[in-house]
Amino acid sequence: MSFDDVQSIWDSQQTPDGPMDRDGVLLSIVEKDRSLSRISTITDIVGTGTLLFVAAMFLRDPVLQGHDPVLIIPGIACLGAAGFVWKWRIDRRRRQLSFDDSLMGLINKSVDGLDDRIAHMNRFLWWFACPNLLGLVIALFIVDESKRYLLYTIFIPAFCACIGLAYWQIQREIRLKLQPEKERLEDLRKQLAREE
Amino acid sequence: MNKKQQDQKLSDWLQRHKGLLLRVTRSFAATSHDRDDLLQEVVLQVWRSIPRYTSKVAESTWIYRVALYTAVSWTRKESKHNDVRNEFTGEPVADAPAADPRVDWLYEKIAELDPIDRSLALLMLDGLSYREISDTLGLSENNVGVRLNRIRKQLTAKLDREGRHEL
Repeated sequence: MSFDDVQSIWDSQQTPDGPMDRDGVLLSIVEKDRSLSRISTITDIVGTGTLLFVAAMFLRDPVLQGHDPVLIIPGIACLGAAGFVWKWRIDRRRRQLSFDDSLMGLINKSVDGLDDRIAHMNRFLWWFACPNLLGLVIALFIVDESKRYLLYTIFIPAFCACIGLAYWQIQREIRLKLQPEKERLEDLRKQLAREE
Repeated sequence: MNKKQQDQKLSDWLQRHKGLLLRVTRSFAATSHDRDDLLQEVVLQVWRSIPRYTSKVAESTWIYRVALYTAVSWTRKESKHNDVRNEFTGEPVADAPAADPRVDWLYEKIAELDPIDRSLALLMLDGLSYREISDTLGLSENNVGVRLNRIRKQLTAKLDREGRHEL
């Protein structure tokens, strides 16, 4: 037997006659695409909104009542962080995988994309933590003695818990999803690049 | 390109390249459920790729590129949960085309190859030239030639060894 026999078996197959429900397929993919983009939009809006809210809290006293002007610094830092989150979103949309490349090119792009995403996720935490930490440190110096206990009992523990949980979640996401995915792609790239 | 044109283009491609998509999904997914899942993923990626499509590349090459990338990535994610070797010994596929045992047998043998060789085998059996395969996968033509020779020998040997009894 020769390879022509294998080829003739392949050529003998017929495209299934059953109609492909094109409208159904189209509807389902558009829905899937929308639901994916809805999730990332909501996440970005919540992240940006939280930072804007915190910025407003920091800026309220110095801007509206004219006291504690030092709080303008963490307020501006929060606004900067909100801008960073939104810029990250724009960059991510620009970076979406383009298919005008070979399989090898696509794999390389995916690996780069994953590296970039891991770096961004690690940086993201600092962008959240630093402005808030700055605000808390300043608050330690300027808070009324009568309200100092609120810092120690509510704000500092809440900040530590939020940042700790965010750090844990980000590292978990990297360890369980992104890193294995990157290793799989690198393995695939090795397989593809292997010269016979 | 607006969404309506994009949808129209996809509809047109699905009509003309349905066979290609089904062959790719059949080679990479074992069960009917998995095939539906993979087909949906492939079609989603094809739809997303439409705005970037230029006529410099043949439509079928473009669709192959997107479909293979999606299928290879999908297989590697899925293989964490399913042993690939058992893929084709699982439940019978409900929507398999009119049963031709020889074609089923060939798909089983293709499924035993690693995802890259599987892609090469598909492209070769569908009659793409070395040049087109090399462009699609990003390998040198020489590498494509060497690998395809090995795959041809493997498939022929399997047909020789098993085909006589099974088919």
